[in-house]
Amino acid sequence: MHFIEFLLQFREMMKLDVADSTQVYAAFLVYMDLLEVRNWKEVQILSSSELHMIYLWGKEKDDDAPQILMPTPVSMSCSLKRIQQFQKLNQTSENGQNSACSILLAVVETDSTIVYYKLTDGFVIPDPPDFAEDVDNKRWEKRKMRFLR
Amino acid sequence: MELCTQEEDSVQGTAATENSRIQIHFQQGTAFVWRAEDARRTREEHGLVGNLVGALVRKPRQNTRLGLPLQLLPEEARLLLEIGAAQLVHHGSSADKTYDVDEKESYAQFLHQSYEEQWKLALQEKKRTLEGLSERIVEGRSKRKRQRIDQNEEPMELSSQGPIKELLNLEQTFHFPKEAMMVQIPTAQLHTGNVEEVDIQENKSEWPYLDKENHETRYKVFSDLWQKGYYLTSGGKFGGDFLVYPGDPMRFHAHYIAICFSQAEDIALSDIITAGRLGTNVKKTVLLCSLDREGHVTYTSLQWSGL
Repeated sequence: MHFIEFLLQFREMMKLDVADSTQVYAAFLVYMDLLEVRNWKEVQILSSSELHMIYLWGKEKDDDAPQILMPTPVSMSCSLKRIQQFQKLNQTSENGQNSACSILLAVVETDSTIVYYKLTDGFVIPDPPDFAEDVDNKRWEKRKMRFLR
Repeated sequence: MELCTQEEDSVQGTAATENSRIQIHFQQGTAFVWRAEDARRTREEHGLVGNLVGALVRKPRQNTRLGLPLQLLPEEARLLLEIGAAQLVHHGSSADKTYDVDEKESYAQFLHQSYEEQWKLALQEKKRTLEGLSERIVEGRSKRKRQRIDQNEEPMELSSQGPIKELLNLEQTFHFPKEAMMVQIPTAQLHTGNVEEVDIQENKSEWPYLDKENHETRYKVFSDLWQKGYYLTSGGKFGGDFLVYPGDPMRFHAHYIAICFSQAEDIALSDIITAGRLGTNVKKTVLLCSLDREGHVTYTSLQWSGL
């Protein structure tokens, strides 16, 4: 996409007039990051007047399930209630066939670096620990000996 | 002085096992379980872990392994009380307790009786050792005698018959010093005299958690996770409120780090990132827990997304 197009896009976002300018700017940076750096597909800009924010929708790859993103400048704090409202938004929106009910929180730093965290409703069992790695570890062996004594 | 631990005084111990309630001793706002049997039931029957904080009697100068009492989290204590599995008791600190003459007398008598019994046992043991060794002792002595005879060329009769002289009047000569006596260290309180039941509702000053802002949320989250069958310990190791294990913590790694928030509370994003990043590094999921308007617990799993 040409930068002029991005600029026009940004103007459009500002015109929606649902959020304060730092949130819009954060959303715009995430939008560029997804398209230019991470090559996401079908990225859309959506807005919620209820939550006063602009959010994004997109697919990591063509055949992946769509995900929604909550762009947040790091200066903003965020309550669990807001996160849950956003999750509900995802369920009700027409694009929200994404029933796993997970969202991505995109935190935009003041130097415009972005980190992504996944928030899922309910319990997500973590990956099992790497036992092979632990067994090789001599320190672990020593500790095991100590506990067996 | 030698020490030996012994299972709790048999009569009291077994009579009060199965159906009785666990006694939670309550000292300056902290809950302890002192009886070994109660501590076992807390874990095995109720799936509550607690934390052993006492020194081991036979291995005092170390802290890798600890023994009774079992200290409970305020949430654990409250849960045991609310399901009716325990009673909260209060007893005057042992420093305040004065022992009357009778008690002192009977304790002295108990010690004396114990000494007598141990004296008999030690005597038997000594006899057995001497008998086992008597042949060798006799052999050694006659050898030495013969050597002396050879040197002095003085003829002396050899009396190698019969038991050696030490065995003859052992009972008179046997000395068993009081310092070598074993002392019983009970694993349960022997006197239940000055124990009284306490109601937490009436003793808010001593149970400071009820008024704390966070306690209600923490307790609801704790009991909800416990009802789902998880084992919980305090979450200090990973900066959360609780660590959530799929089974007994002796056998499993924790799956979740539970952090409690009130629902409307603003959470700094840096805190979310810190928690999420730590959780990913230690292969655990961070659970953000809160209560909704109806008081139900809601859970949100937080994971780093390696985009």
